[in-house]
Amino acid sequence: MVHERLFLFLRTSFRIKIDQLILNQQLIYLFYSLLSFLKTSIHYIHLVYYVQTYIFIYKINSYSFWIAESLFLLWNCLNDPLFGWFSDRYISSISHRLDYLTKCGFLFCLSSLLFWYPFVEINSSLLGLQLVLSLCLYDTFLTMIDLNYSSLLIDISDHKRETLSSASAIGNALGKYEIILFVLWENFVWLKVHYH
Amino acid sequence: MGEFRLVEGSLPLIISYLFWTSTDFRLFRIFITILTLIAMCGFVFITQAMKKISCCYNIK
Repeated sequence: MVHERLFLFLRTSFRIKIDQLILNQQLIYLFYSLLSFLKTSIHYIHLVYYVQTYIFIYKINSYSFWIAESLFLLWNCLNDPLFGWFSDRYISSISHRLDYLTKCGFLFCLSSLLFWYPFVEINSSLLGLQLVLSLCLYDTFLTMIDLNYSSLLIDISDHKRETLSSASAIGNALGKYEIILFVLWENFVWLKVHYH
Repeated sequence: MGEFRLVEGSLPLIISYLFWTSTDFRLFRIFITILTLIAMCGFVFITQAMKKISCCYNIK
């Protein structure tokens, strides 16, 4: 009788543990997808709008723009292998990578705001300096996020790599539709202002 | 696969160029600031939750 109760207790608690483990693994897929979603939603809006903002709204002169873009090109060539080497050499465990993702994700979002708030007056020749600073900072944090995010796939998946990869692709695809959300929101506010 | 690539990459880009109006930059800035703040909190929350799960269950 006691044995049966003990067996029942063990089986029940074991099953709960297994259920929790499965639930948490599914949460890992969801979180992995959400990370991709957040990164893409910020990056895609930046990618689509920053050139138009600098040219049509801030009225940066073409000479400053091309110098800034060339300097960024050089930094982009350097920082990818540099941070890849740094990541391989100094970051090894999952928790270490996740800590880096926390810090770099936060700073990545902050650096993305630099594009939309000019430090100097519109039409100023110093806008080129702001552009190169913003681009380099933004790209540095983006590289750090990409490196740690891609390495996390290998670290957290043993035999379900394709599921994690699909989760990442879904998050990536959904993140690109943030722009449509902006368009809908803009139209909604415009209608509200003009019909009230 | 080609269709998926179009839906994933090029279509939102084309749509955004079609709808882009630089007339109300203030509105765009409010939208992007709210989105950035949400993403900032999201990054912190998600990575810390993942860390907790991977530590508790030693997921490999």
